Amino acid sequence: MAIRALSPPLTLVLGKGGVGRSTVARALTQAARNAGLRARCVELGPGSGLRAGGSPAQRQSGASDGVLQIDRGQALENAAAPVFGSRALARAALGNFAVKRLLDVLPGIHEYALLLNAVDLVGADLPVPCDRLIVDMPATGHGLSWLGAAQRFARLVPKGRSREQADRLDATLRDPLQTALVVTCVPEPLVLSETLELRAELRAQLGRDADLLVFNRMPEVPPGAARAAHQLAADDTTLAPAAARLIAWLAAREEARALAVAAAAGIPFILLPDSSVGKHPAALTEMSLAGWA
Amino acid sequence: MTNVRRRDGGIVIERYVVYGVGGVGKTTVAAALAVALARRGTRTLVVTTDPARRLADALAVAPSSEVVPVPWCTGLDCYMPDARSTPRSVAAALLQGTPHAEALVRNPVFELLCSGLAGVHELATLASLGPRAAGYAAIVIDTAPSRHAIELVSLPGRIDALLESRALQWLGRLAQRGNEPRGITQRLIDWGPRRLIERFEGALGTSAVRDTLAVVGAIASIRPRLLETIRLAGDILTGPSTRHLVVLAPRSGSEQDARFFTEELAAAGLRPSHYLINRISSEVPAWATELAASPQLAPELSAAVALAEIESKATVEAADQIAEMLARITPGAALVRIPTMSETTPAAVVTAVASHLERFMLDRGAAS
Repeated sequence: MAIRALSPPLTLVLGKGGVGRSTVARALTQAARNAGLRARCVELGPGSGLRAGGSPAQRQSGASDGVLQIDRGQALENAAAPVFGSRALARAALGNFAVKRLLDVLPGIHEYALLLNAVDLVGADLPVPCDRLIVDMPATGHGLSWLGAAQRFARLVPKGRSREQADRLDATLRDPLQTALVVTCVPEPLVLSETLELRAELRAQLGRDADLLVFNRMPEVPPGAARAAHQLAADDTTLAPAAARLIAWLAAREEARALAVAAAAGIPFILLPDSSVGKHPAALTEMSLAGWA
Repeated sequence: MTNVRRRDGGIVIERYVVYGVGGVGKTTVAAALAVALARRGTRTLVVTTDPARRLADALAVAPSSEVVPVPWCTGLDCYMPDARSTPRSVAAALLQGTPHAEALVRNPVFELLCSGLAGVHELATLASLGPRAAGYAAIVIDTAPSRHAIELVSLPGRIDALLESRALQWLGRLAQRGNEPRGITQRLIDWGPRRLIERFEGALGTSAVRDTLAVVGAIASIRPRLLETIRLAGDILTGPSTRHLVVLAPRSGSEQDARFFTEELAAAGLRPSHYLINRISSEVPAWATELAASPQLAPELSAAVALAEIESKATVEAADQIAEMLARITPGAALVRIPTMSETTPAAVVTAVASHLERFMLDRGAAS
């Protein structure tokens, strides 16, 4: 498969908020389908229960391209069921009035549960069979990311069923054959430096790098424009100042590209054009990814 | 106790919380608003809950964990607490004088809570802000660059709910019930909680449950102090004099961001006072206009000119679309359009945006 990041059964799409993470997750799902795979996009959503997202019409028709939404409360219960022995016991323990309030303020617990659910979905008996799950992960926060949640949890729990669960999750996330990590970002200095931080964090916490970097909103550089602008600057004294400013404009764009490419050093990357030029971002991303695949 | 709501003369302190997804220039806008307020003679404190402390760059000050003055702007101070040490120092201050202070030192649950988990740093920042906010007439809060920053708004309420409910006392008492001799009545009362604990011990192991209960017990023991601190933080974030500002980028897709922040704030019973669309390139670059007028332009240059024209129109069109959508979902909300500034250093951009906000946000606010 041309997009190696779609080879493992589970693909996690990471990135900070506002960089088009969901768009990339959906586009990757489409790219996998175009390659003949039965792919499904998964996200942590509000609402209740494990249900198909997308439009109400899609849900009714059971269309396979509906996004699978995992409800926060359900995610926790699903993850706790094997640990407590049964869903009923888990519900009773987590539903205790005091425990419930405590879980309400515990940071990162829902993200941890989502990861456990996503791993469990691989090979699970879904109504619509599928062989690739592409998870649109919650925005990467700062500080300790939830990717290290399994390890942190393991530090608190020396043994037992929940420890085994944490260790299994950690092993799945560390294994490039089981999980692919796709990082989404945009070519802005701030976001790029955070992307480098995220890559360093992946190496520190999971002992591996991202498998693919997707850059959204890459500014276009019109081909041949720089050469033509230099020519104009030399030939036409009246237009030379304007040509010089055009050269600076082009140079800034080239620099943004160069910075992006540098941030992707050592791993495969995809540059997606800036969609502000009138096209719908999702359609454009799908198109570019399909072409790339 | 420090009262941040009213100062001596009963003047209401202006508070602004700035939200936005990454890369929209949220920190720049927060810094610019603070500069604009200070220039009008309002003694202002700008605070960031973002552990990355980008505010230091925007204001050209050295990162520091204490409140520091912004040397080039009279009347403006900034506060950017350190992610690693703040939760610990806030916890130490709260636990001071209790037997828990030392007992928690090697507790892994407590260590994890203090280790910079998302949410804890923000909360610790706000908790530490209370005493430092005295004497300022305006406070501007720059949130972490994520959609999840909005969860911060409801966090004090959720903690308040935990502290206020019987839940905490109940859990706190569980922490002490270990080896105490108990009569038959007590054993009957304890039967339910005991079973619950056993279930959790079966699932998580005894040490994890013991460590968690020790932390809960410590929290229960400082409940009144903690409640006061949390309410102060909650009041700064969601009090009646707090205004909520949403910063948006002029591109397609920002409508969803605007809708998201509006709905999330509405869920907390709040509404944005201003939407600020940042970096609108309202004019086609002069070079493009000049080159476009040239009769014999190389096709490569025509393509570059066309691209520059399309891109500058795109931000204006996107801003118009956002404005149209906002007029539908929050009629009457104030919209501020901020142009792309040509300045090159972050502090110069902040100064330029500050002048713009003075004219198009603060003056209008005063007039209405």
